[in-house]
Amino acid sequence: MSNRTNAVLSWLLVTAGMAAALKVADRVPALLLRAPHGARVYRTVAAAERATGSRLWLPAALPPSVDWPPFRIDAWPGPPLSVALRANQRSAPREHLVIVQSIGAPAPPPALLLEPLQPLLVTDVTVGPHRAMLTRGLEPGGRLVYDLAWDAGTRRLTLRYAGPVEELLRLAASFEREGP
Amino acid sequence: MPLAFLSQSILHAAVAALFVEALLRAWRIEDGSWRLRFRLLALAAPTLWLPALWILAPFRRSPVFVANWALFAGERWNGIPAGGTGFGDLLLLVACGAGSALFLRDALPPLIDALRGSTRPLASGPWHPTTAGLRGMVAARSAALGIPPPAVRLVDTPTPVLLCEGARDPVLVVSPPAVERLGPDELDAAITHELAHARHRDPAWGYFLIAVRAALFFNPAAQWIARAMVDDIERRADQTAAAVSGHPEGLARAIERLSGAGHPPPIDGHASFERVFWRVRQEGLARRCARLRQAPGPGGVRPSRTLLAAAAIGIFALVFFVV
Repeated sequence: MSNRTNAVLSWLLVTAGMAAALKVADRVPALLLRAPHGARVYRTVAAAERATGSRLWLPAALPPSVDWPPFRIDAWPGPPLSVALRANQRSAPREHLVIVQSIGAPAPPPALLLEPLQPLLVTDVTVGPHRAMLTRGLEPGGRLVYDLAWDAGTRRLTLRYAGPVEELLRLAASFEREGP
Repeated sequence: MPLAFLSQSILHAAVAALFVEALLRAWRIEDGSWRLRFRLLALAAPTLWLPALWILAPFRRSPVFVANWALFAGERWNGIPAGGTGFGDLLLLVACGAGSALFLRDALPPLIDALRGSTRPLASGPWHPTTAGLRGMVAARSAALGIPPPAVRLVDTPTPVLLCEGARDPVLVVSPPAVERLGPDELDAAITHELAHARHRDPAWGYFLIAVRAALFFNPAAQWIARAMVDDIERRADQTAAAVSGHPEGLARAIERLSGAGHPPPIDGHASFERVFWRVRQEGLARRCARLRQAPGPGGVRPSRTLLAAAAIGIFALVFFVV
């Protein structure tokens, strides 16, 4: 191998090695937090609102099975900015409710924040004055859940709930009492 | 914002330092002058490139860049809670503490010595027998190195001292015990080594490095780069002295004799930190002597400006995506 080839190969190897090492190190926090890589993670609603500079819409009424406040809030910078509030089930440390809102423009939740469902049944419903889409489907893990999505002004709200559909609809309606 | 700058300064210096160290090893570059140039590139990452990127590329701080493009984002570590704060901020605090300790460890003792005036010039002038004996040797070796012979200053201290100081007008500082301790070949090689420092304007490099270290006192990686540059300055002077005097073995013996004059700090709880530094220094000196004694091995890649440019591009490309 010539001197020049050796120099070029070494440079490529060192540069690629450093880039790979940095990328791996960058994934460690997401792995430790079990959070989507690239999303900003906040502990409280106040911290998320401060960092994003946006007021988050919160439900005015919650089913008794939901352990509130959310245990984690993930923000994806977008555009548009999307924020996911995650709450556990009160009786077990298991994700029970996810509220995703796109801020600034209606947009579907990024897959990083809310994994797409395998739909089983899709129905049109109303949430206050808005038309909404209710999907019954399976999460990648095989759990049966409901997704409810509707646009309200410059936001799209998507709720994923692992409880009864009546509770989900009441929860969604309470946003309309709390929203602008 | 200031925390983000401090964090990036440390990250950029660390990435650049590791990258340059890996390249020097991969390319097996042994020439002290070239090693210094490569290290200077690493030092430019936190001192020049980061401020330039901060001003010229503010989009690097945007959430979209951080989420989609960054190879490494320090702020992600703040998502991990650590005692009421983020783990990233805690790491930053520890790193700043380590950087400050490294800086103070090297900067304080000479400052205290200077304030105490622990060495004073001998009352005797150029007619002193030690000076007279050195004058011919200094003149001959200065001529061989192509520099005017520097002034020789004797200092009254019981420890052996042989060094070159003075950024503008180099001066050879000698204590009589240093001259008495060395044989003729060893003294010749040691004097040539100090004159090589004068030829390369190394005291000015020393002032430059201490100024950079003071400005980046919080940055442990920058402190490490500056220390590595001091080692390379010594390596360059060793290589020049070995080539001019023709006594690499004599120089290695002189280093051993002069460094052997110092005693390790006592073994007690208070001096354990000092002993670590003493051992590291001794190991460094042993490596230096081994380098002087070993026959030159199979050469690595021949250093050139092209390689220097390649290293600069590599550093810049990597740190651009480290936020």
